[in-house]
Amino acid sequence: MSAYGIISGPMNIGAIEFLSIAILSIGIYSFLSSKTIIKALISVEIMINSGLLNLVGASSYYGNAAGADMTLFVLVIAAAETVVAISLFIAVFRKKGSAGLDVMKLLKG
Amino acid sequence: MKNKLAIILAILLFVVMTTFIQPSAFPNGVISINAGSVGNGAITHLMFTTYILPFEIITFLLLAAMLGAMYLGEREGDK
Repeated sequence: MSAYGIISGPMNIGAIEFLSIAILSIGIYSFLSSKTIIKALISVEIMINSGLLNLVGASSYYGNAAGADMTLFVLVIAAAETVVAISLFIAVFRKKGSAGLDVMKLLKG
Repeated sequence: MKNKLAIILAILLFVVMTTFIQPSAFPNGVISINAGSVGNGAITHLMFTTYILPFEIITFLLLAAMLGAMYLGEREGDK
């Protein structure tokens, strides 16, 4: 019987880690080179999901379901955070007429 | 300029993590077929017994996020 019914044979966890690191690097590049807020939020989601992929791999490696549970919790929290961020940026857009990342320079006070 | 810096930083992070961190994290780590005792209902069972308190807290977090989004997304005119 496999760990979650998904993995049908022995699987190298190094491959999962490699994929996770690659996705994290892609997300960081995308975040650093983003000019719009939506792209920045998508990049943050990519980075969170790479971490969660690593967490699921480790959870499957140790045969402990707590990691998979924590993955579900983190997914929900990330969704809530994205909702709050988008509504904040909509409020900024209404006040300033633009919601690019350069508008956030106003936060310097 | 900013783009090139982003590419350099991302590649640097990738190389550092794959060469220094990844080999030492799980040495010859292979997820075997009989990996542990995680059965089909284990995730749900844990969520509704051990982690029932975080589960309930998350329901309130979602409610707060929904109310906050409704408040922040409200237009000036229609009250």
